[in-house]
Amino acid sequence: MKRERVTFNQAMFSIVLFNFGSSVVMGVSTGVGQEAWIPILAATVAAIPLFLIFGRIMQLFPEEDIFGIMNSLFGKTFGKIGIALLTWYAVHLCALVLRDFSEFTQISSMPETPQLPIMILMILTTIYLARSGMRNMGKWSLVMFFFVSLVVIFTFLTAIPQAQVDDLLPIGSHTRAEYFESSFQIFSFPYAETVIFLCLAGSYEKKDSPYKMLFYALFITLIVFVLVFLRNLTLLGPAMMQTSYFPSYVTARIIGVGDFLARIESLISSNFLFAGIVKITACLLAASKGLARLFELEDYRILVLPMGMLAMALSAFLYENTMEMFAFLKYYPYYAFPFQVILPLITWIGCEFYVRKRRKESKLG
Amino acid sequence: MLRFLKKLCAGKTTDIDKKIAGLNYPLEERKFSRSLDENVAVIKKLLTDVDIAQYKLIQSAGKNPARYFLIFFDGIVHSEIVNSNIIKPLMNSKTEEGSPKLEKLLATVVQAGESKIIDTFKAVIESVTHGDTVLFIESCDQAAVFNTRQFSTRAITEPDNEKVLSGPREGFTELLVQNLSQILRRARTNELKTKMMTLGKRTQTKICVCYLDSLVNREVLEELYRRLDKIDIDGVLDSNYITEEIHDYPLSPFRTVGSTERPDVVVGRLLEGRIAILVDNSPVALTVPYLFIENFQSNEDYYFNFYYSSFSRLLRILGFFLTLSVPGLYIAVVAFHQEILPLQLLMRIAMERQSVPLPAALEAVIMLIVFDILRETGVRMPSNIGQALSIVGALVIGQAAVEASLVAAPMIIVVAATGITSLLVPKLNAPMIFWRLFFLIMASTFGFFGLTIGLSLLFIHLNNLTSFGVEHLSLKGSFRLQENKDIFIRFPWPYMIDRPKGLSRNKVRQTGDGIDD
Amino acid sequence: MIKRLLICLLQVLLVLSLCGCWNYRGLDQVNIVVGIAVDFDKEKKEYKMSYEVADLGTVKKDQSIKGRIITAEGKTLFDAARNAKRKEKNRLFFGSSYVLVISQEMAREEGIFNSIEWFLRDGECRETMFVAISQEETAAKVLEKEENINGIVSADIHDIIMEDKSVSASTVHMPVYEVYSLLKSKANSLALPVLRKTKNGDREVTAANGSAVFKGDKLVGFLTPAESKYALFAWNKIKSGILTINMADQKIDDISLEIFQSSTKKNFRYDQGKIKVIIESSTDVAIAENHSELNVMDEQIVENIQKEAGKMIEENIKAVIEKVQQEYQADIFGFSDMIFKRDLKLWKQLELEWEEIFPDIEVEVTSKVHVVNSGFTK
Repeated sequence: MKRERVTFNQAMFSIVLFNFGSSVVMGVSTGVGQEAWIPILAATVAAIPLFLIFGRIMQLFPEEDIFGIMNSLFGKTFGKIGIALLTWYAVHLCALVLRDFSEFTQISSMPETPQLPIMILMILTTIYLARSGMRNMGKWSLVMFFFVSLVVIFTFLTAIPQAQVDDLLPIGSHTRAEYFESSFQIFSFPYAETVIFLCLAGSYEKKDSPYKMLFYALFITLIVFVLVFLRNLTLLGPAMMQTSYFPSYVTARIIGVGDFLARIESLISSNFLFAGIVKITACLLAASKGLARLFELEDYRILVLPMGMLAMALSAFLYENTMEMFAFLKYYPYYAFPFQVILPLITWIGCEFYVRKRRKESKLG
Repeated sequence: MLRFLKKLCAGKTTDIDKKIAGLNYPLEERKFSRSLDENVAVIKKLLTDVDIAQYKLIQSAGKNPARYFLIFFDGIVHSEIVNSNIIKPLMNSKTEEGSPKLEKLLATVVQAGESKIIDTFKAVIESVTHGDTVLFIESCDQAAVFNTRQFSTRAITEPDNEKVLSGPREGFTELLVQNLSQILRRARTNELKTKMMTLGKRTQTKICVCYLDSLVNREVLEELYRRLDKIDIDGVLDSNYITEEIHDYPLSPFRTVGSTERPDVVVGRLLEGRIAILVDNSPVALTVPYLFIENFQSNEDYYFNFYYSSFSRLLRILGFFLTLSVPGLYIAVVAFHQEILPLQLLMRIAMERQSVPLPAALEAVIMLIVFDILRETGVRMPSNIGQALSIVGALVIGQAAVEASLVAAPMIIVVAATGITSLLVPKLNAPMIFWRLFFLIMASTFGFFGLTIGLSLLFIHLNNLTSFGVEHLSLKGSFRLQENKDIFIRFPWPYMIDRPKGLSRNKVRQTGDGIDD
Repeated sequence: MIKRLLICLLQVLLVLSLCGCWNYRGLDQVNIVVGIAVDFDKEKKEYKMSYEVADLGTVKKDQSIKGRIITAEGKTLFDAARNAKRKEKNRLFFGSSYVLVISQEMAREEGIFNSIEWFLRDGECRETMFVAISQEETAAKVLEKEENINGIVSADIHDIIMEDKSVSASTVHMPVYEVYSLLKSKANSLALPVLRKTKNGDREVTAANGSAVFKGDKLVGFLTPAESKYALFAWNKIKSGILTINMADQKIDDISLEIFQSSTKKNFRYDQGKIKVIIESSTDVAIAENHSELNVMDEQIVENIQKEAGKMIEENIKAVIEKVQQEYQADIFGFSDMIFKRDLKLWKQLELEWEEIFPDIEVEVTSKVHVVNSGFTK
């Protein structure tokens, strides 16, 4: 099979959209209200070393995904344990995001529609996209990124006349623990979730360095997050922002230029959907690739459909209601930490040793 | 019929008859024998019941007359040429000893510009069906073919589907050579390669693959030959037969093979490194690879001021989205997301909807189908009835239905908008009908969510398509201006330096000597 | 391939047939609610809701659309909205409603938080719908109109209040989400527009009449339209309006000034345990009406007008603030919020005894007026 190649921009924008994913819907963690920009920045800074590790792994093994690396580093048994863990994380994340979106769609626009058909439609679309391959996802991200950022910029500009800038004050009204918790949340959701892209690595065009790709993505994400946060806060005020489940959506309902250009929330919700599809697809691809590696299958594509169905079933049973979903978000960072940080860390250390050893051998030989 | 044959060959040839009757395997595959009589008998057997075949036995002048045998088909030969350039010289020629050599005859006696020598019966059939005349001579196992073709063809006119306001007005006709001549006139170079092939077991249709040698993408060319070789078809009556045979995704509603009736368009595409396939008896030439954006490009874009053509190109793209999504959008708004409408508009639409019996979604489906019925009838109607039809369509179905409160007025507006915008991109009409209905159904079950999912599916599908290995929807994410100069906006020629990527191996458009592979 | 395509088609069809178009609601099956009035029946402990809906069934195409009132009772707002369906063929659709009118009595005794909470929680209502207080005995009265008059009262109210700040500047405009934000802010007070019926010719119409002052979510008093104008100055929300200056002491008739643009800055100073709020406004005006044949080309006279107008604005702003401070003790100008935002430490000191400090805060107002033109004539 001809290896599909993903260009630099396609890969970068899929990471960006992946990061937007559900975060743009849920609003970046609003634990500290008007000061959320502090944890956003802190989390970005915290993500830098992690991204360095990701980049290093990608650079050392440009033709392999993390599953293959684990396999060759840790041997059959331990490698497979690692692969199984990451695969589980990918499936679970897929289910979580799917649930986020069906909840959002139900609450925002279709209160009488049950969630199952919404989920089925979404998962079918993502299965189709995943089966079409990485490059197709890259193209998707490319176009949708422009669409999404256009909408963000447009809503930001239209929000300016209604913005109340002094809502940004005061600074320092929360305790250190609150800042830390909020930063940690943003760090693990969405930044550290980029670990999924380690599972998809190996098909990027080699000419550009993975560091550049990851950091561009991080930078663009940061800018959009800050824009979204500023827009939501100055328009809604801290109280309203903290009380609504989907602040961006509420913001879009309020924004209006004249009487006619008002009520653009449907635009926003389709916007969310486009980013969400990338996130779910990436998770689905990662999960299928992992499973294919576990069972030592050649083609991961045949696993996409069953994996998608599994994720959907999982997401249907995950929570009883929306409140539970948002409550789980509190514990999510602790749950996800081993997958997001510890596994890649171990892999990275293994990689370094492996490379050193090989270098020595080649010198000796 | 047999009796007629017997009478023709008179008595002494009966032994040959017997011999021929004994030949079992297909006569077409046989080579000529040295006996003129035997050859003639075989040919007559092959052309049994083909009454337009004309046979002519000629004897030359002189003491030692040689016998010549001519075959041609009535009606497709130029009888003047046959009479004065072939028959007359042959009759007048003087043969001294035995029968002359074929080559010598061609060189000295027959006055024909184009001739060749053949030695199988199959070739005879091929030639005479083309309007050629075949000459047999005695005790020679070869025959000569003279080009005496005369077809009556249509005049070169501007194709109805691709009219332009300014620019060349020539269109292809059904005659392959004439079409080739039109292309050649526009690209006078030995780089223009014209490879002929014959397709169709029974129709033996000639097709011609044209490309510019230094520009063409070799992989695409090889892929094309591979696919053409695989074709196993009874007959080729139009180029669309070939389109469907060489399509990357035969079941996709979108075409990945381009088609045009204009020589200037073909040459334009050749210059971008594409390959053209001309089919005899079809005025439609095919071009590959075909990119999605070509649906929105028109040859006129290049003949007009670039501001104007960029604008109309953007309009076409907008039209594509509108015609696909307007009915779905309307239903999503009216039945799911009423809060989007400003109050005054909402109340107006609601008022219109008060007395209408059908739900909006069903109404939309019916009206769209009605529109397509009107369109379909209009296409096949003679133009004088067409007028009456448009009156019936517009007045009866439109106005009367609204006045009788069978259909809400906004729905008519929506259908009209859909119909008009669909005319902006005629090349995509066929797939759009289905996608539009699909979007409508999605929107009427899930509102905007369904519409978004529908659009996503369309986008993924388009992304999946390739045309001869080239991505149909090329989205590499390049921000280099040079690569995007002929996509949404047409830049003026001096600024369009590069050829579209992936199509040609010669990247630079203007100088043409920077081969980059 | 064809088999797979068929299977895909079948899947889609199955999905489609699964859904009975849950959220599909034809426009002919809804009553479009334009305005909502909430009253509270103390004895029965029930909300009495009046919904003004667009009456689409009876009008002809070329007529303007009339409003029609539907009333319903219920233990909660949602209950009432559902009860309305029992009387009506169509269900209510809140997505386009403009106005939420709350009765004076209910605002005084029950508070408004409960009512706006539902409107925010329910996804259908818009956050930009604004809240108003009725000065009539019930809120429903405001939405009523005489028979045979076309038009929708709520839509009129919407236009009156939306355009008020750019024309007459006599009341405030408060969308639901801002009400919520203010109630959750440190100030915990706000002002809402007030509606009442007046005579316009021989017809009774609804008109805006100043603003209502809330402390917490409870009504504590009213500001007249004139007072509201200066309150708008203090909020920095004034866009336009007329200032009439009385220069009787200089033997000049009244002069009308039209406000072009105005900006107000609020600040505070804290020394020796005392807070002083400083309000600085600067206003561009045009001379719009000049009865006294004043020579507007004379710099001295213009100077006088500017000074006089400035003084008048200063005094009136001060008066409004004092009234609110002392009479109602409601921090509708957001002093507390300002301190909280600008000086967190100080706010933490003051927070506990804010109630006592607030009425005695000294306010210093300076106002500059600048005449930019004098209309068409000299």
